[in-house]
Amino acid sequence: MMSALADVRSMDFILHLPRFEGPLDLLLYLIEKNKYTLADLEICPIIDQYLAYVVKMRALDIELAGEFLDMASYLIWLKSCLLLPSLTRPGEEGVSPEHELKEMLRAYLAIKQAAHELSERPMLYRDRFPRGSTEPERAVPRMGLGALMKAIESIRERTKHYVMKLEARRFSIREMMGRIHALLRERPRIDLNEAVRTGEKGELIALFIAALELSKSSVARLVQKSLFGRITLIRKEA
Amino acid sequence: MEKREIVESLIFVSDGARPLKEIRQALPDVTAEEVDELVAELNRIYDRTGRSFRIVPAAEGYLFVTLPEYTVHLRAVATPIRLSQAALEALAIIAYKGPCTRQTVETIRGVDSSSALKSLLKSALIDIKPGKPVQYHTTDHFLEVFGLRSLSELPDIAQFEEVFDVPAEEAGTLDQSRE
Repeated sequence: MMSALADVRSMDFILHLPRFEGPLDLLLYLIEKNKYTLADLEICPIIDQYLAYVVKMRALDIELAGEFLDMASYLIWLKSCLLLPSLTRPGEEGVSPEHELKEMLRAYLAIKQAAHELSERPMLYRDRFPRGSTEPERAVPRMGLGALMKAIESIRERTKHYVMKLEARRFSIREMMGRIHALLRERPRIDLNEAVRTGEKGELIALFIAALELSKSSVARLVQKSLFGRITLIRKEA
Repeated sequence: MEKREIVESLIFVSDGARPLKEIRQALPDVTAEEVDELVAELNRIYDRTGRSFRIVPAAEGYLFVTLPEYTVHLRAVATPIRLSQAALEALAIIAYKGPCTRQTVETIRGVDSSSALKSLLKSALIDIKPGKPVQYHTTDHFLEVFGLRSLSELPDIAQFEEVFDVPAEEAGTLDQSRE
């Protein structure tokens, strides 16, 4: 890294460099500058120059896309791989660590060239114009305010929500307890069914819980002679 | 004589390229080769009479376009479209590797490409193929804009990949796009 930093001071030309699309773009630029091709590429000096660029850009407080930094850390790792003695045993052919990078560069360069070739073709709306318009067709056809309003109206119709209002009936357990209590005052022995008025599930549940509460507070005794049989409440004398 | 003018009228009326399929819909007995010949005849007439336009093949069809000598005048009344380098690269990837995902585009470019993809979608040069994950592909409009009959007319990408392997002295400028 020291040698890279030494170059930083002399790298004011950095301000005049072209804008790079990304880290691969920068690497290709450096490879070209150093007059390498993939076949004879010496990665280490390229890595040093790349890192020097990143350092300088940050020193100048110029924003770099995150990918440049991702690549920087990858390149530092790659360089350390290349500097360390190879761990492959003699006779064992391994894929060289820089192979992946070279493949990425190859693929990107090919695309750059292909893109360049594409842009060199006579392009519609730039070098020649079709019958009809000098501008590419707008997706939305020209329409007046009236047509637009009608369209909005029909969309609104289609997406109207039909709302159903459900009323949740609530039953107060306290109220049910009162109801049962009143019945018990008249007669010492009543059927829980007798307290039912509307027969709604909510009401039945509230009544049942009320009966349990009354049993808990020793107001009445609960008796059920058979499974799912009648529930009888017997008034408890104080 | 008549068939030729019928073809001419079909191509004249179309919004964008008139697909060969549709020409054959109107003229069921005519073959693809015949249409090519009729178009060539029309172009010869235009040439003889000094017209400012010709018919060119594009997107499996035909399109009226102006000649290059008139471009400068037409530019006076138009804003020529310009594709950014990022958009061009993304477009090339989608054209050559499509249909492909955003991931493919970003892996090859090595950088985030969402704004490039957005602008390509806006220009209708690419479209989305619904699915998981979402894939991009070039549109017929792309073929029209670049004057391609079909994607198979794209130059072979292998020739671009080889550049990297050629020794420096022969390669000349490695990266032409930077010129």
